[in-house]
Amino acid sequence: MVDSTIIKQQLAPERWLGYVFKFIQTVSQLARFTRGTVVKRIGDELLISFDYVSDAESFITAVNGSIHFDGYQFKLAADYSEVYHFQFEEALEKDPYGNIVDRCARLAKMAGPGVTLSNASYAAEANNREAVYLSLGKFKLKGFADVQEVFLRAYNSAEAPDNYHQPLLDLLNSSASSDTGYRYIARKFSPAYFRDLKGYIARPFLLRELLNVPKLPFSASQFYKHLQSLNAQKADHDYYGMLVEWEVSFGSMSNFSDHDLTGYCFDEETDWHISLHMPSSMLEVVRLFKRREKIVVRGIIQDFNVGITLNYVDIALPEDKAPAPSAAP
Amino acid sequence: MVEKKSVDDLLKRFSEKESELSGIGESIKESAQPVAIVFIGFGRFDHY
Repeated sequence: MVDSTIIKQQLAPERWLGYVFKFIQTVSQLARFTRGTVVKRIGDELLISFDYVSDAESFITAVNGSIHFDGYQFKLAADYSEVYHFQFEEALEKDPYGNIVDRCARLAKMAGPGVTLSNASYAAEANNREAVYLSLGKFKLKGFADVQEVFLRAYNSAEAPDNYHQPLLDLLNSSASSDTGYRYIARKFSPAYFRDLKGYIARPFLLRELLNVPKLPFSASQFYKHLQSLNAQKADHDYYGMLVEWEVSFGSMSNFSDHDLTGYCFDEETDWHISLHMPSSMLEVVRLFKRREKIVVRGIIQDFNVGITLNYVDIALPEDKAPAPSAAP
Repeated sequence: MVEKKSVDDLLKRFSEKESELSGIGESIKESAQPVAIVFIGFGRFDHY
């Protein structure tokens, strides 16, 4: 599976043009069937507006279920807010303008293949028996002064059959092992991770495999020193939602609830405390470590209240201790 | 040296331009309504 931009450069035009044409044609048809209006086409991306969130939900469900799209993986983002309409010519559709369009475009860039993201107001309005919107936490989106809460559309696990989750499972199980510079501890995700969903927090997902988020170019020590030199509150906002991958020392762990686990680590050089929020299914991994043992943590920056808190954490072994990636399942 | 008259003319033109753009902005503002929007794009082709 390869990114569409790369495919267009590597394949002869006649080999990819049909895919793109069919994609745009089918999406346009599904938008019409669900009372949507295709406002813009930019390359192989489409912006569609709907008067109601319920219609947008019907569209997303229809796209995901369409037999015409077998073999395609989409990036989807949805937003709900007030817009202003421009109309330059009578024959053209009204063009929506406002923060909502900028924010939705940012969310679409954040979404990995096969992923649908939304903002908070869309998630609050969506009322769909087949899908739930799970909070992924707060993220700094380019150009927005305030951090924005981002939601992931997931199928309601109580009603969906296991094979409904297969694309997400494949994504999680295939990505980590091929990342360079990161040796993960072998484990396989199963439908049980998704059945455990409770409430509205996206505990089971390892965000690195689902989102395109920027990686912080600092070690834990460097970042701690950097923060000390800045106005702390401003720094908080600028770094929410960024991915970190740090070698730190393991401290301890505690069970937060049936579904959550909190681990505590620290940076040896600065003694900075690092809290790790993980799904309880990570317990078997965390148990492998002794106090002060070196580990690599990978997670998303979410909080600066006491030390720093990382969400959706995965733990790996340092390079010199890890098996080769090919040894992992 | 810039004459006072040409400065006054410039300020007047600025004022008229701003008034015209504000008028356009006000009329567009009346079109405000909540909508849902969806961006959809290719992620990957599974066939390659």
